[in-house]
Amino acid sequence: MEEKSAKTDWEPRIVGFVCNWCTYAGADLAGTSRLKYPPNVRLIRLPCTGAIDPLFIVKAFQSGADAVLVSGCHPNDCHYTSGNYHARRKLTVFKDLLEFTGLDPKRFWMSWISASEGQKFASFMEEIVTETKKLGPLKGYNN
Amino acid sequence: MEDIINIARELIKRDDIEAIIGYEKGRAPFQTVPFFARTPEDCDKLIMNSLCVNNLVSYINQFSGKVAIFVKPCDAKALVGLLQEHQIEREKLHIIGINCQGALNPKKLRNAIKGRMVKDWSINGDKIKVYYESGEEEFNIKDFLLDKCPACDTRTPPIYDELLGDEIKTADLPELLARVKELEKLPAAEKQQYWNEHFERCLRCYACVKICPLCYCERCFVENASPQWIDKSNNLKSNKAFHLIRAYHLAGRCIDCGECDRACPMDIPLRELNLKMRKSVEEHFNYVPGKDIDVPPPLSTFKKEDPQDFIR
Repeated sequence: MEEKSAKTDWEPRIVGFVCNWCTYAGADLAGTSRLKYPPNVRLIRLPCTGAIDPLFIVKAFQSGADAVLVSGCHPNDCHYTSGNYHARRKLTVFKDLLEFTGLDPKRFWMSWISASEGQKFASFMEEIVTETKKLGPLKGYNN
Repeated sequence: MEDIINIARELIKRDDIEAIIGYEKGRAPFQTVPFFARTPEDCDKLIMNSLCVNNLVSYINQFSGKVAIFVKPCDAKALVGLLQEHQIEREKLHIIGINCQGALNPKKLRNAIKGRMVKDWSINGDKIKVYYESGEEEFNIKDFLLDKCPACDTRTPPIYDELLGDEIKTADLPELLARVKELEKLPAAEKQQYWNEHFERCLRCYACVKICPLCYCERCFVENASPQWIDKSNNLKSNKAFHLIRAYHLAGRCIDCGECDRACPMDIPLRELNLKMRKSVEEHFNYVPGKDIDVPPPLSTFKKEDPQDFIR
């Protein structure tokens, strides 16, 4: 890890868990609209944010993610009615736990991005990458 | 002691009661062990004192019929959790509530006797008397309480069919979450170091999982081979993942009986993680576990107006 951070050409790796119906479509719109956003983000498509087990997030950090994003439909818009509400509760407490055990709050992000918000998706990715670059590589998870 | 034996003897005579779950004296010094009385003669072995530390509700589902169980407030809170989650049928239980003024930490007592051979011990009021091969010594109970006890606000079980003694009210307790708040103030790097040092020592014996009254999954995520979330080998990476998810699975469910802390052979402060989850759930969703059977656990429900300050 030390070696990696010494390299000047280090690029952060961001893992995004996104829902099929809103944020994935939003990312698609960003692409088809030819909007530019950093290529550091790897999206993993899931049926719903409600299907996200906190284990996925831990696994992502262990496997070398420097920041993790969870994104789905706005409240009231969930394709499965209430998946995003459940995700909100679960991840609220899990975020608290991650911070309590020493994770920087700026390494775990959550957002509501709808299928029509390509612009929001692109600018949010820009922000996450900028913030993660400031923090440097994540330590303490994957050694 | 007479009362509990009399109560048990009356209960076991009933046709519908298969067994009585309580404690008997163990063989090691200051040890009590869970005991299942099935006959009136068995009942004479039952004891109840402040060294009866095990949470007994984990044993209920080993019986198919109706059981009577002695519960301290901690056990009763775990019962509330299990009843909320439909893991136990209320009709199959006869609950005998026991008031509690704090339980003793057997580890602390064993350290205090400095390796001398203990012949016997007895508890009288707020004193514990230890009989050595030669001579005896008396200790104050309040110096040997388990960490969870001083700040505990439940001295009478929240649920029972019959209660031994009168309800106890509490006042002027030290703050339960003081330690959690202290840890929260540390900078992120120090928090990480503090926890990684503890996680690194973990043997992954899973004693914390086995003893937890609310960890009842028949197949735990740590046993899963496809996908394998946790390495079989012992390393910081997997230990950390295990501890994070263990604590998260107890969010809004852990009733702070502190059994994980007591069972841990490496003295990892598991309660601090559990209490952090308790604080989080109380702050965000205004919920305290182990109080009310009719309220759904907070992570199995939601409100549209739940807080979402951190969501963009």
